[in-house]
Amino acid sequence: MPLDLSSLRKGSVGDTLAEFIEEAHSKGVAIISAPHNPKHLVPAGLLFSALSRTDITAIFYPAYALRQEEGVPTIVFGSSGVCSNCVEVVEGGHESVAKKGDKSVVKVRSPAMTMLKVLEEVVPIRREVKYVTASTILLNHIPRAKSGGLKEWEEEAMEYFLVDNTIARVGHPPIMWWGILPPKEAVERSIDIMIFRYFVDGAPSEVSEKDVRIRIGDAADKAPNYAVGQRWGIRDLTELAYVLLTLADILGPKGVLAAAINPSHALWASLTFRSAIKDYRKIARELKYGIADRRGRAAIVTTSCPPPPLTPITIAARGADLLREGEVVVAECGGKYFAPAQLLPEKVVASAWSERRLEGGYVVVSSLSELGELF
Amino acid sequence: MKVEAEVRLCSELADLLKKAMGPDNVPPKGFELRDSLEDGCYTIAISGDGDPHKALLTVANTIDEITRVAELVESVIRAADEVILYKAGD
Repeated sequence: MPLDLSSLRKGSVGDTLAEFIEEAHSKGVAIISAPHNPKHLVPAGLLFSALSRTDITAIFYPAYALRQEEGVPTIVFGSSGVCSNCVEVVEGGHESVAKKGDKSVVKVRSPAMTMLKVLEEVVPIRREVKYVTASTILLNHIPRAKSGGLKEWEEEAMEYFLVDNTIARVGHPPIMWWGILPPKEAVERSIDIMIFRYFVDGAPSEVSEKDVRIRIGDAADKAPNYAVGQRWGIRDLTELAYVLLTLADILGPKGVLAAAINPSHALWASLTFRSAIKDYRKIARELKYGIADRRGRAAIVTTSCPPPPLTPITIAARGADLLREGEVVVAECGGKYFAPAQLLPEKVVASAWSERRLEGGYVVVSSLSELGELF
Repeated sequence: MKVEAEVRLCSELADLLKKAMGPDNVPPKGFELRDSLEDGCYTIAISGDGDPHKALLTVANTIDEITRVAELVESVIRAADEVILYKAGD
């Protein structure tokens, strides 16, 4: 069944995407690609899902493994320079479309929001898929302590979901799970804000809102807090953002793509994320007290195998000033070193893929000298 | 956290499980094969020790297969007693 594109909004970005879909329809096949990060994998998944409901065969490649085929329409999210005769959708300050050689470069504020709005006009989108899309906006605001608040266009994006009660604004201190769990449990679990004393050593039985506001400071207090609009296994949109990072760690790009197709995959990954909190406490302590073995930009900690998702704790630790910007938590387990691919340069990940050193979302190496080459 | 559920896999999900088990018929960590029937369905127990979702999604390559795995996730979450971390505020 072809997509009915007649109702697509007019405008250069919408037109370019509509032309791509029309071409894919005429060929019966399309290639979709994105780098290893949720902000670009989610829109890729939205398009993959929409095309797969039609008579178009959609093929997905991570950007590091992209294989273009002659005559097959190709769209790449987030990466520049990896494709030819294709459409590239990249993040930019203003919406625009430009021709660069044989490719069309579409600049948008948020690739996920753009895809959602374009596709929502032609196919029904599940409420949970909107949660996933909204959480990609919050990826710009984790760690919370470094956020500084939503930009105007991000406020507008969230308003898009607020007006029909897809999501709800939460007024209490912006701390993950506050208002959902009892305050003591919320501060003990919230790696997002990581009030170190409470997170690592445990909170007193009475935790007041006033005390939390004093401890998290002004910057973090400006950061947004949203909940999903209806009962679902994940209630907090910031947690969902961390879950997307978790999926990218434990399953690689396909995990995030799958969550955009059916968010139940995110529910499953949320169990992994939540059960990793106890490991995160240990890692935070090792970073704070200098137990972690620091080698260049790698902070090496020993963990069980497979390691807990490492991107969430890396980002949280940067927010709590336990790591500097650019430093990454690396796990040593079973005589190997696991470095989260989504935090490494794309060229390094591509090289690791060609050398078969990618396992799920990790680059896995056997020695410290090999690890040094990654950073 | 404990994730325990007994579910029955048929058709595409059974095919995916076969693919994940490989030629040696070894269930992925977190899966315990309770029964395999002649009609091509499997009854399996899922524990919290492994990650059956990961095992199945790793071998799922088409959108249909990815969607089927999500259906399994949904059914496990519905069946499990203690999957969702929090009840407060529900």
